[in-house]
Amino acid sequence: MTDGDYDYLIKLLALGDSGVGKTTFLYRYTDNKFNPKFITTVGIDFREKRVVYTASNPNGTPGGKTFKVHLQLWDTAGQERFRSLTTAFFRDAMGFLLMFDLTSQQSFLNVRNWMSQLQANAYCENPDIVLVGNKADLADQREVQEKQAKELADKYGIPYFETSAATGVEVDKAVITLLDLVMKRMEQCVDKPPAEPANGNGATKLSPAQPNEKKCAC
Amino acid sequence: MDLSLLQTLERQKILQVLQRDKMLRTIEEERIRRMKQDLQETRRRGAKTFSRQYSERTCARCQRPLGKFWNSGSVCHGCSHRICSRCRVGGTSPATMSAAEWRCTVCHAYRDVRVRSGEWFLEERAKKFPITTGRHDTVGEKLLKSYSMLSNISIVPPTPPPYLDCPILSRSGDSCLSHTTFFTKSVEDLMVSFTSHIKKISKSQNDVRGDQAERLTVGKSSAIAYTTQKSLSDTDINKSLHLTRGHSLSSLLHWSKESDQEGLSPGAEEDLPLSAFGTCSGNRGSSSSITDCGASDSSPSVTGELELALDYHNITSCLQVTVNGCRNLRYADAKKKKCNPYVKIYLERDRAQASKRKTSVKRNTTNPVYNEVLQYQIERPLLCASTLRASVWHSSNLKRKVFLGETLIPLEAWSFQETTSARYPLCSKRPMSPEGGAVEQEKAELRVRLKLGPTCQTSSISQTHGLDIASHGNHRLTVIIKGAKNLPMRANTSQNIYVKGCLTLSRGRTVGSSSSTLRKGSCSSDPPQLLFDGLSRAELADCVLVMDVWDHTHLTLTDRPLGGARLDANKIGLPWLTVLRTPNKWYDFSLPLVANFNSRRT
Repeated sequence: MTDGDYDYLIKLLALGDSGVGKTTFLYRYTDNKFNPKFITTVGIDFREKRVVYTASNPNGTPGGKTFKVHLQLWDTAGQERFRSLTTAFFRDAMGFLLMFDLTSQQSFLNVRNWMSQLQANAYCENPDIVLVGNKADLADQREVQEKQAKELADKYGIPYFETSAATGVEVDKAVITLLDLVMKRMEQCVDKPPAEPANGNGATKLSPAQPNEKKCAC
Repeated sequence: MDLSLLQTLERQKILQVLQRDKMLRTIEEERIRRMKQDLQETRRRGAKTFSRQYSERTCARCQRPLGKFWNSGSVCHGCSHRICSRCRVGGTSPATMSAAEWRCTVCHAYRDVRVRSGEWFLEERAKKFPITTGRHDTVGEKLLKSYSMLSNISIVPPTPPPYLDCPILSRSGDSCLSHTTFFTKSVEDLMVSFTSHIKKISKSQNDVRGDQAERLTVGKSSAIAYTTQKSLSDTDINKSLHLTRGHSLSSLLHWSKESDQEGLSPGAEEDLPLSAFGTCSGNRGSSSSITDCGASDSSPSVTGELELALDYHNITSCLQVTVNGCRNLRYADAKKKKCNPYVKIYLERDRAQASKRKTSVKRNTTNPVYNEVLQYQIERPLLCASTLRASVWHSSNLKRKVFLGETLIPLEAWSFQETTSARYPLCSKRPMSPEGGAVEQEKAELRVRLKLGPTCQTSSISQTHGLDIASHGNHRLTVIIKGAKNLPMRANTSQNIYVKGCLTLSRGRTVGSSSSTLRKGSCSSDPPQLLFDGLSRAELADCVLVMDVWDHTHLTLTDRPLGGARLDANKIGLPWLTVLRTPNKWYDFSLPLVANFNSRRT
């Protein structure tokens, strides 16, 4: 199925509460299909997809080089009992799809917890994350407003997408955005002199959010 | 973190995922390897090396000369070499760009590899999580490793295979079940013990070694495969190890015993058991062939009797065993009515070759008449403690010797006066040790030769009533270590033994001495000995001589104790008094070695 004929192996990971639609989201992305049945994920799983990535030039215009990217998309169980297992896999991922259910306020509230989990377990303090509100097609059951979610995403300095695994809306875009972030991060990491501390613009992503988070927890 | 809390099915599912991940990683590793190889190639092709002289004015990559003013090249930020404009990557118009914008081809390739191989990620992660184990180890990999080990243990059968009935085997086998490292170690041990024990049998040894090596590689290759396969093959290895080890040891012991008893000529002795041993170790099916031999020999009903006469000459210390003949022996080959019997005797105290005596072979008879006298030179006290083992064998030129029966005559009960011949019924083979069992491990013995003599030459040595010189305290007890038999055969035993002696005298005084090393197989003219000086005869009357046998190992730092022997003057009584009474005369003792002497270890 896979061969070594690719330029990059990028490992992304989807996380979020149980039932927010991580598995169906990834299934939609890799196979462009939708399975409405809810089958809880046992521990961990992963899917693969080969994509062509077009590097944007430094000045922002597209049309740079193209690369073959092999995506390994880790799917984690949202259930609490698998928590120790799934969080252990956080450290092997380069980027994260943090998902919540637009029809569940609770899953949105838990985003903060997932953020702190990522901070603790991911490969660095401020990894590349995309916030994904899934089940956008169920407009009548919606509990989380776009404005709310957008504010939270801005607070963390991460992109936000409202997707639907059922219809496929914004699914590709969310993943590609995350891939783009990882690719850029990659270039940054290599180009910056090793002596320099690892902040740059990435550090601004999480640090302003932290006081807010503490305030909420109290 | 472990998977033990999850249900079996869940665990299996996760492990399947991890296996898929592992396959992906294998491909990725191969890709990275190729990439780094290419990078190496690029570096080699266009790099300045220290071995060659370069003029300052050449491009470090293409070695093209650089001009002084025009096309002068500039220094690469990555490697600080002067690079011509053609060998630059990055930046839109290299000639006009500032130096920070471009890299030379090699630096660029290096950077590219770092990005593409995910090196950047590992570097970043290492900042947060300092590397403890393998740098490239993912969580999945670790889980897979730890779990495959776990399942490995659970699948391995807890009991050794049923066809191993030897106590030695089960003991040594247990250790190799537990872990793979043990496994390799025990193979080494096995090899060491092989080489030390059966240097002669190089053929079969090579067979076994080849066999082992093959299995080892099997085990290694299957390590990449799935968990169940791995654990299965491990079990296999363990089993086969049991078998080969089992065979080698049991057949070894048996071989030495059988050949000993059968009394073949030295040449034949090597040929026969060798072939048997070879097939045995190679073939799993015939696992118990050697072990069964003894049983099948004795299984046909042993009939007949043996007529012997014993006579002991006190003056010459000579025991004469007159073998008159046998009656009503069974046929060795019942179909062909063949029987070529001969009689073989041992003095059981010392079952070395030296004590073996044989009669001639009488052809085609079940009632052979020998009338042959077999002689032993033996001191009477030693004779008292001995048992005469007389066995009757059928001799055949080509086939194995066939056991026809034996009888044991304890000489303790013998009155020494009774010299008329007596008939002893033959019976089937009696086990060597009271424990019996398939491996008849004989008792370990230390053979020593004692002499009591004066430290310096005095006139009193000729005196035979020793009490006169009791108080002198100028006696020397010399103990020559003649050898040890049936030492506990452990792996790595070097067979180079030495003896530490401690003589405790009646007044509580102790004298110590240590011997030189007695090397296996070397019959040096200067045997190792223990010397105890400054003794008086009164002190010696109820002394205790304790001798500990040590294995002198070159490889390990500490020598290994093999057993201890104790010569208690009060217990052996009469023989000891003879030693005291007759100075300057050698007396032989065979002392049983006991293993538990840790308390005396110094």
